[in-house]
Amino acid sequence: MSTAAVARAGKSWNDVPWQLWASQLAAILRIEIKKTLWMRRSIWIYLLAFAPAVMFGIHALTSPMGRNCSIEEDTRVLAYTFQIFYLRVGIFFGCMGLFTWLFRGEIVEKSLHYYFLSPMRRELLVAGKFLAGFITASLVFASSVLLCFIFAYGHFGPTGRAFVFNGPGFGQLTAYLFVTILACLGFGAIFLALSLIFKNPIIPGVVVLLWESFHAVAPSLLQKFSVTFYLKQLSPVTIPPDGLMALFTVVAEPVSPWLAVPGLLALSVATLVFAGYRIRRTEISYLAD
Amino acid sequence: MAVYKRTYKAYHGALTPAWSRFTVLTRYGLSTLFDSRPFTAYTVLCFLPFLVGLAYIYIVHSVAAQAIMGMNVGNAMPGTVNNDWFHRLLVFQAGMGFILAAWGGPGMITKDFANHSVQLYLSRPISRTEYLFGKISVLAALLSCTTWIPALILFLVKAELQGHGWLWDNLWMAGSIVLGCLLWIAVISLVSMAVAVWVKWRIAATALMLAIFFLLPALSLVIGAILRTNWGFLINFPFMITIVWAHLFKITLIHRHASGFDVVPLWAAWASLLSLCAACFWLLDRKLQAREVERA
Repeated sequence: MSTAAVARAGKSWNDVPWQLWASQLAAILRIEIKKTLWMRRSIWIYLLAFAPAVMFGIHALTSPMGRNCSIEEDTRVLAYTFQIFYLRVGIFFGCMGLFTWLFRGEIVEKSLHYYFLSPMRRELLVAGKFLAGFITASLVFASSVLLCFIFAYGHFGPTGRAFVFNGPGFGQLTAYLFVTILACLGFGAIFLALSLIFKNPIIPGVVVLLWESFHAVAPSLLQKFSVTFYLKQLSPVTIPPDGLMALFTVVAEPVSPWLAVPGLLALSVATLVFAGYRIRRTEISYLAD
Repeated sequence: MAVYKRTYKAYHGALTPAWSRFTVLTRYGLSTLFDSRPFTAYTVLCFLPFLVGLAYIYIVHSVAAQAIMGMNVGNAMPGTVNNDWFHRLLVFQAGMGFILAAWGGPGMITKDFANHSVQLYLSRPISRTEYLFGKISVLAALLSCTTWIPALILFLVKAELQGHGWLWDNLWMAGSIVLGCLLWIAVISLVSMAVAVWVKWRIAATALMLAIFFLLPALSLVIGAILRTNWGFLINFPFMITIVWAHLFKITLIHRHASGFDVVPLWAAWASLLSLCAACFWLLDRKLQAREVERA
C-alpha cells in the first residue's frame, strides 16, 4: 500500500476540510441559483408552475364570495389539481428541465470544463448543483401551490378564512407544501442521475413518466419503487382513481408517513451517491449534443 | 498535387431531377437515424402490434389453428375484428410511433440550426420548402411504415379471409385508416420539426414534444376542473385526435372526464388540430427565412 493511501485511510473526521467545502458549496449555489432562477430561459418553469394558479385566480374573480361553488367542491378541485397536474406532470417536467440542464446545459454551452478544472471535488459539484436545482424547484412550485391555495379559499371571504385558520385548511396547506418539496427532491435526484448516464435523458425520462403514471396497476410490492406512490400517501386529500385506470388499480397497503418520508429521502440520497460516483469517471465530449 | 495547383470547374455529371431532390435529404436522414442500434431495435419493435394483429386475424379465421390451441369459440370471433379493433390497433401503434418521432425527429434538424449549417443546404439548388419536406419525409416514411401501411395490410388480410363482400361493406374503414393516420403523422411531424427549430437543442426539443403530448392534457383537465368548462380540452391534442379518429371509425366516444354530452364538438377538434399545424408552419416559415447576420 502506498503512503498516500495509508495517509488517506488514516484521515480522521476532523482533518476533512469542512470549511473549504462549505465555501465551495456556497459559491456553486450562488452561481447556479442565479443561472436557474433569474435567466430568461427559465421563464418556461414559471409558466408551467403558475398556470394552475392563474386558473384559480380567474375562478376567484368569476366566483366572488363562493357564488358558484362551495368549499367542499373547491377542496376537491384543489386536491385534483395537485395530484393530476403537480404530482404527475408539473413537478415532473419542471424537474426534468431544471435538473437535466444542470449538467447537460453546461455541455451544450461548452462550459463544464471550467468546473472540472477548478480545484474542487466533483462530488461537491454534484451536491452544489443538486441543491441549487432543489431550492429553485421547491421555491417555484411551493409558491405556486401556495397561490393556488390562497385563490381557492380566499374568494370565500370569512368562511374561507374560518376553514383555513379554524378548520383543517392550514394542515392541508402544510401537507401540500411538504409533499411539493419532497416531490422536487425525489424527481430532482432521479433526473440529475439520468443526465449523467444518458446523452439524451429524456427518452429514459419517458419510461419514468410512464412508470410514475401507471404504477398503480403494478403489484403492491413494485408500487413501492415509485416516487408518486409515497407522495400520494402523504397528500392530505385522497382522490379515488376513476375511468379505465380504476378497473386495473391494485390497492396497495398504505405506508405510514414515518416510513414514506425516510423512504423518499433514502431513495434521493442513494441516487445522489450514485451520481457522485458516476461523475468521478465522467469525461467531457462537447461533440455529443 | 498541391491544392493551389488544382483547377476547379463546374460539375457536369448527371443532376438529380428537380422534383426528387428532397429525397436526398430523406435518404441521408433515414441513414443517420438507423446508425443508432437502439433506434433500429425500437423501430423493429414497432412492428410487433402488426405481427400480433396478423396472428390474431389468422387464428380467428382458422378452425384448425383454434383446434390446435384448444379454443372452441365457433363463429363468434371473426366479428371481433371490426372498426373498434382497427381503431384500438392504430391507437397502440400511434403511441409507439410517438416515441419513435420524439426520439428521431428533433435530432434531424436541431444540428442544422445549432451549427448554422442550414445555409449549406440552401446554397444548393433546393428550396426552403424542399428542405423542410425532405426532413419531414423521414418521419412521414417511418411512421407510415409503422401505422397505416401495416393496418391496411391487416385490413386486406381480413377481407381476404372473411370474403362474402366484407371488403366492399367496410371499404370506408380503409379510408378512415389512411386519413386518420395521415392526420396524426402530419401533426406529430410538424410539431417535432417546429420544436426542434425553436429550441435548437435536441434534448430540450424532445422534452418539449413530451410536454405538448403529456403536460398539456393534464393542464386541460385542470382547466376543466377549475373553470368548470370543457373548452380546456382544446389544448389536449391527443384527445382531439381521439375525437377525430372516433368519428372516422364510427365509434361512440365516452371520455371519463366529460360529463355525457359535453364533449368538445367535432369541428372544434378539427379546428384545434389544424390550428396546431398552422402554428407549426408559421414557426417553421419564420425560422427558415433568410436573414442578414452582422458580425461585430
